[in-house]
Amino acid sequence: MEQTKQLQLLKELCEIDGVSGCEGKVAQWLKEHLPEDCTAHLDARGNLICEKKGKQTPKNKMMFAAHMDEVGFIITYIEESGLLRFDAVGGVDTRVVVGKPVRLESGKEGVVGAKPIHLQSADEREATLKYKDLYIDIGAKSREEAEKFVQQGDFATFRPQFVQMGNCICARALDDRIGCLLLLELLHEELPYDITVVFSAQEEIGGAAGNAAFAVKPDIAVAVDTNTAADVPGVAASKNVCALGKGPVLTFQDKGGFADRDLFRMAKEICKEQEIPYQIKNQVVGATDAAGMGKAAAGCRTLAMAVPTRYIHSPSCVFDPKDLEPTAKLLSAMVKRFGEM
Amino acid sequence: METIQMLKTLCQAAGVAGGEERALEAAEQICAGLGKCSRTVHKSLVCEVMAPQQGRPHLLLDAHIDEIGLTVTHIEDNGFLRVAQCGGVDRRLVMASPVIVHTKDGDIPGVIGSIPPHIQTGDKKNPKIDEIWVDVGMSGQEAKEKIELGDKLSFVGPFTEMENDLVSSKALDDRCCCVAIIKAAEQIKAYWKEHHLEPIGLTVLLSAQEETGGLGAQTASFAIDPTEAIVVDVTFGTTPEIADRHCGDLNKGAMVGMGATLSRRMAREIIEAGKEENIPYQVEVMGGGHTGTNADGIVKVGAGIETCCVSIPLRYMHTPIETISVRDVDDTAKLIAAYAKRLATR
Repeated sequence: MEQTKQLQLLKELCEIDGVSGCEGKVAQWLKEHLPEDCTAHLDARGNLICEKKGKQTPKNKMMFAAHMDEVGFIITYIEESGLLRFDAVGGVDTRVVVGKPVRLESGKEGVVGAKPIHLQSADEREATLKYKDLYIDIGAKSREEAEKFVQQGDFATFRPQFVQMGNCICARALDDRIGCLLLLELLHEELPYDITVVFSAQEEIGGAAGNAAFAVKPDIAVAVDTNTAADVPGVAASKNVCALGKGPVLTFQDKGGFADRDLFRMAKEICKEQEIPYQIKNQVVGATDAAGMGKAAAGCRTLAMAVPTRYIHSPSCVFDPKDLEPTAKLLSAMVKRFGEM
Repeated sequence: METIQMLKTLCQAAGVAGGEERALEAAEQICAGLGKCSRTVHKSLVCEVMAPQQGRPHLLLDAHIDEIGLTVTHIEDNGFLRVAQCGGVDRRLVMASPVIVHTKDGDIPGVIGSIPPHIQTGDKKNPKIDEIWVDVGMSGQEAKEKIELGDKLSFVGPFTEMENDLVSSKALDDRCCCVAIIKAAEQIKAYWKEHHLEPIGLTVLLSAQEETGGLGAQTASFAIDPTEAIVVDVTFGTTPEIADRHCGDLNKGAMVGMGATLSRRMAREIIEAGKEENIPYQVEVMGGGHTGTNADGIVKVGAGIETCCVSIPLRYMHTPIETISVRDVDDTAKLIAAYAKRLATR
């Protein structure tokens, strides 16, 4: 797909609020953008399961998953003063939360306040804040007034941004709307084999993709996600997890478990044969939907691949669009190769 | 111009301490009809609203035009920028903050990077300013071609309208006070015209470099040589963490400063004027012999200048989400104008 069009779609995707447990709007957008020759249904946990016919039915059923949800917040209590107490949904470091503009589920905008630097003691300047110290201010002067815009249990997110930054894009929720975009594109391709694509829910809080895998019963399941890129000052190349602009990241092991050794090797072979740039994740950190899918029912072979992204789980994730094309190419080639197995 | 529109225009213009140009341009457009505008050597904007008269009061209204930000100190070979602070930047909240690099050829967006938590070892710490970097998505060569050492960076903080006339933005410290004194000067000038009063001098000073020590106001006020000055800056608005510090409440009017170096006479007259015209106000006791505002510099200028402080309460000072009440800005303007009217009969 032409890159301008591709980035426009990604922008639309990233601007949809879809905190884990509240992915409905993302699913709706994806449904509206699916090709006609694809069936789709939502399951009990909010996964959007899409079946696409290829030229043949493969011996090994293939499932690809990208998660729709993003990290965010949930309102835990409304103070009498009208300030909103909240907690994180998924892993959000408080240091990227303080001082940021946010948006409530109702659309109402607010900010996460903090004690002014002038009044902080030396200890306070060093200590990282905890969620119990933080609150969202929407300007309401009482609980009653705040309740016009928010209820306990409502979700909130960082306010969206989508900025062309040098050769990169800086945006919220790139993790994992990039994966959603890539799998949406895959569904639009003419494919040699049938595939099932799952746009999954709740990955950031443990993952619902396993339930989809239970229903789909794939033989091979591939998670398409983002990986944290620590190609930044002060981190040795040997420890940077992955780097921007060097193509898709293949994982042999992460906190969720091991990749199927054969699938991992085949993915590398495809890249070498087709001259697709790729990199291997060099730290055993993070996890993807591969873990949940591999455990479903009697289990299946899994693989995780990712687009390198800096500062994930923050309002300002950064990725290089140059990495999209080789990742898409690898995905198409996998459908063929894994289908031939 | 409506107060809220003026706030939005001024706050969203860039004007980091020492790099105030963009904000000054925006302010000069707003002040063009108010009086003769000029720039000082240290890049403050002086607007002579009513020309000073021999033997008559000459009131100076000061608010600072600069905002806190960062400055580029080094460009890494892989394109990341190293920075130092311009003013007191809260390092607890810099991570993942969007910023704009202001170069001579235009603006470049960036974001403050940090080592991802996934690969951090030991306890989480708030990074020191010399440990952070700004990611501009460029190679080292590109970044070095486009960005100069010493270029300023401002924080991105959107203008948000909230409940109860509250607004949030970057740089409300101290652009909201710039708006208040411009509005006050408009009212004072109109009052003098309407009532054909004995002339007085009235000068608006939008001063540079307050956040880095107050150079702009100190030098400009020497040149302006007023008989008295009102310094308008923001003060801490009450939030839960500082509820015990007797701070000001938003939407309850400006805070009139009482402090050792400040003019008690002016403070009392401002309060009287507020009572007379039913304009809300609060009292702020500024202990310790200094105020942390331009007043500290102005009182000491030349043979000394009688000075007082009027402050607008603001939540979350020195963050990209500073929050104030638009109503307080209007009430601050009214309060200053009410005081100035008393100078007619002096």
